[in-house]
Amino acid sequence: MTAQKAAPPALPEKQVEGAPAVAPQREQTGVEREAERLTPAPYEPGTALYRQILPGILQVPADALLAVSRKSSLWPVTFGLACCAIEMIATFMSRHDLDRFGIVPWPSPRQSDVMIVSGTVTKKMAPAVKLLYEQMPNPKWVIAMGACATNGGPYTRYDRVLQGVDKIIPVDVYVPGCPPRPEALIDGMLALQHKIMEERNK
Amino acid sequence: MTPPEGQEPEATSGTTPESAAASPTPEAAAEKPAKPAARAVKEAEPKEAPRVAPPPGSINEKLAAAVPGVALNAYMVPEMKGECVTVEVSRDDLTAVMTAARDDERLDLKYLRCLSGVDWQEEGLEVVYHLWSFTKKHSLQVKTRITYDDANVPSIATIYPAADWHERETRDMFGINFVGHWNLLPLLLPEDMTDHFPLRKDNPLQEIEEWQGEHLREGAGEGDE
Amino acid sequence: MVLERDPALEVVDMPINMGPQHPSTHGVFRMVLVVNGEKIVDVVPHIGYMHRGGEKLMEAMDFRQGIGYCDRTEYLAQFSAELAYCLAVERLMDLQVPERAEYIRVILTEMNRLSSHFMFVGAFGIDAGVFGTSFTYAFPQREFLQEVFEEVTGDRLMYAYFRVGGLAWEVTDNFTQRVHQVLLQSQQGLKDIDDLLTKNEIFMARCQNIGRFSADQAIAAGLSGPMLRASGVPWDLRKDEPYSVYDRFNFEIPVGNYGDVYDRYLVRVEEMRQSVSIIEQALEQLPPDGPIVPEKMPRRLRTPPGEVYAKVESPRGEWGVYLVSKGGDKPYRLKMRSPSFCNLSALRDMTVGQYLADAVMILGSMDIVLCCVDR
Repeated sequence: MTAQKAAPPALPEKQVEGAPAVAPQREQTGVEREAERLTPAPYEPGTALYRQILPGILQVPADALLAVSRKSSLWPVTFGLACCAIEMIATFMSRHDLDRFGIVPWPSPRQSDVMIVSGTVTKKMAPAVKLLYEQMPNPKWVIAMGACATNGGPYTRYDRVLQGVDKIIPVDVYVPGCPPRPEALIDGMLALQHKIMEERNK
Repeated sequence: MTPPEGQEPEATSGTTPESAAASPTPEAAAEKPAKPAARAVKEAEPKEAPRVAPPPGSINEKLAAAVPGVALNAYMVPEMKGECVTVEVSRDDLTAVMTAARDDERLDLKYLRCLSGVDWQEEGLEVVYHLWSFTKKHSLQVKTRITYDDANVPSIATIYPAADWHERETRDMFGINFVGHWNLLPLLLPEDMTDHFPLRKDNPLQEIEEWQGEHLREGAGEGDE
Repeated sequence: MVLERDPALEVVDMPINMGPQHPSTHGVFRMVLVVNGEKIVDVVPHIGYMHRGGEKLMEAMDFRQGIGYCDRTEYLAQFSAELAYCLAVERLMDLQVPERAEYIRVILTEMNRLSSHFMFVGAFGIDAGVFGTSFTYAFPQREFLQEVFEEVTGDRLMYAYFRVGGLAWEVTDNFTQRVHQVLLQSQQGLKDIDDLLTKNEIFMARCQNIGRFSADQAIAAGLSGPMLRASGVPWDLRKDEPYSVYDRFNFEIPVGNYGDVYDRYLVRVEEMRQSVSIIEQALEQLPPDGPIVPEKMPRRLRTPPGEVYAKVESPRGEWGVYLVSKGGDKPYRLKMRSPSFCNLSALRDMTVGQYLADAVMILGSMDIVLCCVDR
């Protein structure tokens, strides 16, 4: 306990200077070593730059604040269409865990921000996809996941298939792959976050 | 739709064993004499699937006994490896044959495995039924052929409830009208689309729209000049 | 004075639309339920929202290219779909698959069955109201299995590893050890699932005695796979019409007693244990080396004219491929008999008369894949 009070900020310097002069007389006991390891990290109050320039005031543009809060809690509609939906679920599940980016799947379009179009959009399904998009409140974004949602993919030549979801709704991010790996979808999500920050004052 | 015949010089599976057996050295020497031999065999390659009469005691005899007086054109295709006898019936006899197949004790084909439509272009349309018996462990393949102009087949959905959706799907895809089906609405296609048959051979694949292609083509054109 | 009731307060039939986008319909499936109070009077299923013409496109491609479409059609049991297609073409071409390739096919197909049933257990738990817990337990198990698939085939989901005549390439050197490792994981996963769901009293009360289907009904409706076995018909293509090398393994066919939703769950969980046993036997018998494609493999796949109906036992039931060839390198007609389609067609008979809350459970117990229903 006494060593903790004496040590705080300049601990590394002292050790460097004193090390050659005072050779260790005996080996430290385990308790001492542990006490050393348990030394709390040094804390120097009042050294942050913004506190010196603007004590107690944070100035951020309102649009940036909005954009940061929007990008940090993107809620996608759980809207699985085809095979890509399996990879989308895999991205949400424990191994890849989209929750750590504040991205939480939500089973209703009314409270959602993002629509991940995960799979082939057929001409029979297209009106429903469009309706879902229209039900989402602004601001809203669309991620076209996989080759089918981008341009029809392997099924593009069949006449019941819509050649890309961008024929009916605007798309922000295209994620390539058939199906894209979860990492690719995470990358698409990060690209969308980047885009939200870029377009904050438009 | 038929691929060009006899243009590929590669040997098919049927020709390689013969040519390998004819030449004394196995690999390299077999290549050169194989080519004319392959051509000759390919010209003789049959256009129609070879048909073999089923061995005596097959299921078609039991069926003939169950529905006397019905013309059954029974045959087997060698690829079926003896497991499935095919019976071609006219569509007028279809209901009788199917009822007998389900109810007759010698047949006992209670399970409708699969129902498919085939578009044979000039030769009309065909409906193929795959039946199976859990008790007798035998199977039967029933076919019936119709024309485009008169694409009506009696529905067997009352005999085999499993055929319900299969028939609706086949109507969607091939435009075969299953007479007597209680609810022959489009299943896979939109509900108002009753005049478009995607799986018919005269329905082409759609062209790829190139939205991004315009810009790409400009760049590509410069390089060409 | 005669008291009259207000006619506006009478219970009338009310249609409820579910889907096509509904979190519990396992894809894009729409059903219109007509309910009287809480009882279901009628069900009108609408499918075809994912009809994207794999059959038509496969007719325009040669036999090798078609394998990729099999994956995309049945995206939870890709190896089963590939196997059925390859079996059909092999039978037309009269090819003999080398033994080592057969064993690897069996191992991968059975592992695929495990991963598919893990998906079922996870999704079924959500349908029952377990709210994601079952999913978070089941999905990591899928990931472990997918890791092995990825090491072998190079893709997480669309493997395209089986080829007509054998396999695309040799498996990784440590394949056997990896499969053993993953089997241990899967057994642990099975234990977790058992603890979480199988003996869970709420889950049992939720599942038992709903969606009952007798054996005769199931046969007439054309059900197959676990749906049929839960109704008491011991029918498994791996045992009754063995394909590949399935006749060399000892395994049991689990059969249900009551034909209700809980039986279907139990059958699938028991099937997973049997799959583990099959894989272990196959690993023991797996020839250490040998060819994986036939020696006389033609470079271009051309079949003689003919027709063939090949079938395999996929996790959802009988996956059949009816292949008609006019000769040449393309199928003339290809019909995929998908078990999901046939099982789903019995939805109306199974649901009418049940409570509204159970409709989702019955649909979940079918374990449908919508791409496989619509093709």
